[in-house]
Amino acid sequence: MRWPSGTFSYRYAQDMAIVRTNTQWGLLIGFLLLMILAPFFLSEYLLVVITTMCIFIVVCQGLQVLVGYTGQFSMMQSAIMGVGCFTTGILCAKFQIMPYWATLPFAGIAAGLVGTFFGLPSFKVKGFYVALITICAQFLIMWVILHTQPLTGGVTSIMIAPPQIGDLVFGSTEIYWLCFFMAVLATFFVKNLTRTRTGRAFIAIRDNDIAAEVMGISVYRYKLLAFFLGNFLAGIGGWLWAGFYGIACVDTYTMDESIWFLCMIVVGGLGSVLGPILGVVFVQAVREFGVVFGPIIADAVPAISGGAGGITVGGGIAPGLPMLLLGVIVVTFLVLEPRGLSHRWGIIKRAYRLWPYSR
Amino acid sequence: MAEFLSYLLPGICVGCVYAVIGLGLITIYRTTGVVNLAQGEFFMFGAYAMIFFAFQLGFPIWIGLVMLIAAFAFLGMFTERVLLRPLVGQPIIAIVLMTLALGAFIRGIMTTFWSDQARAVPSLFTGYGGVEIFGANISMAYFWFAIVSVALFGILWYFFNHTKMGLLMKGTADATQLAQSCGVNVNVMTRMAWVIALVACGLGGYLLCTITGVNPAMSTYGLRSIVVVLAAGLESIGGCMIMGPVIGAIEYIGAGYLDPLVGGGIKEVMAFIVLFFFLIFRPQGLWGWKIIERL
Repeated sequence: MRWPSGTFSYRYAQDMAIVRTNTQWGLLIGFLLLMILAPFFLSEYLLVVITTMCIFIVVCQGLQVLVGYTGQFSMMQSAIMGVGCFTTGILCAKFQIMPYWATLPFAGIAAGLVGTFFGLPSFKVKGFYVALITICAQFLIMWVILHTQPLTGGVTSIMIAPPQIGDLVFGSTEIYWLCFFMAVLATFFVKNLTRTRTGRAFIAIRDNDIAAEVMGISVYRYKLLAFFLGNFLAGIGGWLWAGFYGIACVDTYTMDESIWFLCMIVVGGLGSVLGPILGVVFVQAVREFGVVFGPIIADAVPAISGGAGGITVGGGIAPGLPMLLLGVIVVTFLVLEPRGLSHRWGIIKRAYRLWPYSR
Repeated sequence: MAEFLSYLLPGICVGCVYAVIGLGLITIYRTTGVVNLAQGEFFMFGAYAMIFFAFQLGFPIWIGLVMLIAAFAFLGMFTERVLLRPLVGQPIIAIVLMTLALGAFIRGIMTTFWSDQARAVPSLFTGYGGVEIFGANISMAYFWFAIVSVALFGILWYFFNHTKMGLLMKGTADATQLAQSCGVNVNVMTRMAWVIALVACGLGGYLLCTITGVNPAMSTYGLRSIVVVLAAGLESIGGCMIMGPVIGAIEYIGAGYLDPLVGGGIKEVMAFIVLFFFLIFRPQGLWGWKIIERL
């Protein structure tokens, strides 16, 4: 990490601090205040968009631990998020054994354990094969959720009452604060995790697992730990989703959604804590544009509207546009900017600091 | 017996479809080391392209076939040159994500232009009656499945084992740098692999979809063919041809006998359960090579 000129470390604590300069403190506090006050000046629609972004940031930070730091490919993130969401729904709505808040650890741990189970084969295989196992896991988990009707409700899904503290029922504003808080917490957690012994072990495994093993790192143990932590955060994401949307429904957690999550961290940049935040904001913004413009394009161009030209309903640009966007975003970023937005941001920041000596 | 056969035979024939998709997968993998997760989408795209050429543009089917081959050859070259060449040297996640995104893009195109309903595909042959074997009524269509896939398999097997081009491609896959230093043009090999794989896949997709019709949900066949390829071993063409029908049969028999117990839909996950056990106990597949890694 390069700091602005004139920043010197006199103590170890200073050297390790995440926020160093007064400017950074000012910008950080300003940003947090802005986000906390956002519900008072944003429209309801934008608030929903931002809340969803916050939930996805939690999920993607988990995925970043798994993919970006440990190098274990996970294609099951949305199914794991579903596990968290359904655990919450089963405990607090279906059987009503505990309030919404008490389900937080259960949602996280259930998701973490399921994820760790599917991480078990990583003992023998790696790389592409782990990707395939997690693709399997995506389908298996969703199939089990769909077919354990008495527990999860299957296709009928579970409705979850909005969470409340005392008499205060959480509306969209309060839920937004909760989600934002969790997003900040998850980011802080992952940032610090990567600076510990565990995090360094993760990075060693990603860079060269055989070398890591020779160095005395228990590769399997750390891989499983990464699977647990990454999927734990996905479970928390599911918990937030249950609180915000008030529904646990199998249709939400598809394979495509998993690919979207991967797309988000690749767009943001692998192996960086800033990556998931930039990636989620960028990709979600594009997706929202897709949702808004899909029907508009369909109206403007009848040939691909899905209803005309002898084509039966159920196709057209409106349902097709998300998939087209997914392809375009991933291809563009992998070919033109494989290291993601956070790398680009670093370049811009350095150029700003070195100005006028930067190119 | 009749009940068992009525599960087994369709299973074997659908398994042949997996094998056809798997053949394209192996062709690309053996030359470039890339596992193309969008192969199932290319498979269906063959059928949709034919719908476009024959129904929407109104060409005769034979001209449509030539156009299909040309279009898929171009598609193969484009995919290799524009999408996957820049990823050489990047981590495996980039390649996997690229092929997945490519698959999503093709599905998007199909949903946008041809809707997500099942559609009929212009046919080369006519008349698919039923035939009775040991009291089980099996549609003739399934035999066309088997014949088409065995023919494709035979061509590819001959190509890889008895032609110079095929042997050069195998050599490129085994040791890229060695092949290059022996004067093999690796870029041409890579391009050829994509062209052959996609043309075979598109043609196979078209021929097989004339029988059942086509809909975008068939893209999951691609993922199941990966199960087949991995169970057989990524290096083995013959193994793919054996495991395809086996996996298909397991799916259909499993669905036939287990569905009443668990409430349906087991066909969708049977292959993945098989893959899960394979990856735990024999990750290189039945006939694959165990690669030993060194520091």
